[in-house]
Amino acid sequence: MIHIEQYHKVDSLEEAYRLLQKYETAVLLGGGAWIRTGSKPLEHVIDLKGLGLDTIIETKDSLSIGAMVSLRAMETHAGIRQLGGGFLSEALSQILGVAFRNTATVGGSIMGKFSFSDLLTPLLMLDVTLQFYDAGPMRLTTFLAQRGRLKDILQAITIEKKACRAMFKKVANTALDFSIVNVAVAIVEGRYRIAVGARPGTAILAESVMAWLDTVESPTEATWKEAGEKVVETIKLGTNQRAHESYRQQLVKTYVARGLKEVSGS
Amino acid sequence: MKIKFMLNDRSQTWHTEPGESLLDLLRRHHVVSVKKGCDGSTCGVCTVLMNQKPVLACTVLAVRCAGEHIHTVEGLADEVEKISEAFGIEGADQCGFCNPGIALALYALKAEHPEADAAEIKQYLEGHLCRCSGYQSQVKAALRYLGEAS
Repeated sequence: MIHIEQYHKVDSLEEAYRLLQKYETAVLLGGGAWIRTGSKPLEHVIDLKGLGLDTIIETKDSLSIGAMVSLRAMETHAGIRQLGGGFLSEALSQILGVAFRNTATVGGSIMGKFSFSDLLTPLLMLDVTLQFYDAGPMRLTTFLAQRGRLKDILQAITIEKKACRAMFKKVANTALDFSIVNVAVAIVEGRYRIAVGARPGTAILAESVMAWLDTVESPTEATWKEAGEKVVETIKLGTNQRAHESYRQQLVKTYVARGLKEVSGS
Repeated sequence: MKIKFMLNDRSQTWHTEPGESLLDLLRRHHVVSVKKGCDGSTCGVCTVLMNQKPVLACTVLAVRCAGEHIHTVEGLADEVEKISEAFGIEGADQCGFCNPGIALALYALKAEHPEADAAEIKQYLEGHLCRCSGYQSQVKAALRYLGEAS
């Protein structure tokens, strides 16, 4: 049993936000799937269920995904399946099993900034804006770069639809394991994007390599290989119980080069 | 605190604690088809249906089931009988510990995607560990069940 001292079932976002500010140690409950990753007793848990944050709204230009939408609902949504050739749905389908993804939510998976996340890395291939209750809109990249905990409520994420070809690669010991490392590569409106996650740090864009690739006029196989080498020079990779830094470097070099080749169609 | 919910189409009002999982709540009330395996979102033996969708009972807080519809194999006897028959014919049934979870997953798969092929079945059943079968016989049983059900 998880030790929860006080469970707060709220009727509105206003009430949830007020309680979040009132209690220093308050924790928001999305799907509850990741709550067991921590071992500390929880003094105040604020449940966001039933507040209408569980819908996906698709327009011609964007997809707005409520923070309480399950990973499975996101994975199987027709509009999300079409993004970048379906790479985001494919990435989501590799997170544990269907039953787990029916519980875990988009909001919980983003707000945790989990280093092992197989959602954050592919999301970095897209133009994603987080809609917070108090802070309003915030780019995903800005949110990930922030240190410390943001005491705000994520209401939804908005993905802009853009011409995009993308791939995602998860490397794990078994289908049900966390990633040893994951890599996403894309061409979005003619510009390259590369992200690496489970480094073991949180997912990050290889911005300097992306900028360099945009300057290469006629990229070749050697360009993709060089890009892979540049990524491991610029992005910090480390060692933990899942893999050594040198192994991660080899994986990242290989999958960045393969990914660039794949999305460029060369 | 007390929660009121539907379990196998019957209304139940049970006491729970905020940190109690649905798995522990069900087993405390002798719903023992819902097995306790890893108790950490990995093995799938505690799968139940919440509003007709498979979820891991170890990962769902019981308090969040208020007002929801929960089904276990005890509540789906007719359909589980068909799944058991397919398992028997294909030799997919060994120790049986994982069967209730897999049966509920297949029931959900039939509703979601009745024409699933072997690859789709395998993908849908990822997250259900079986230490006896090697999985091939279970995929065959699933194909038999879906084929006969459609």
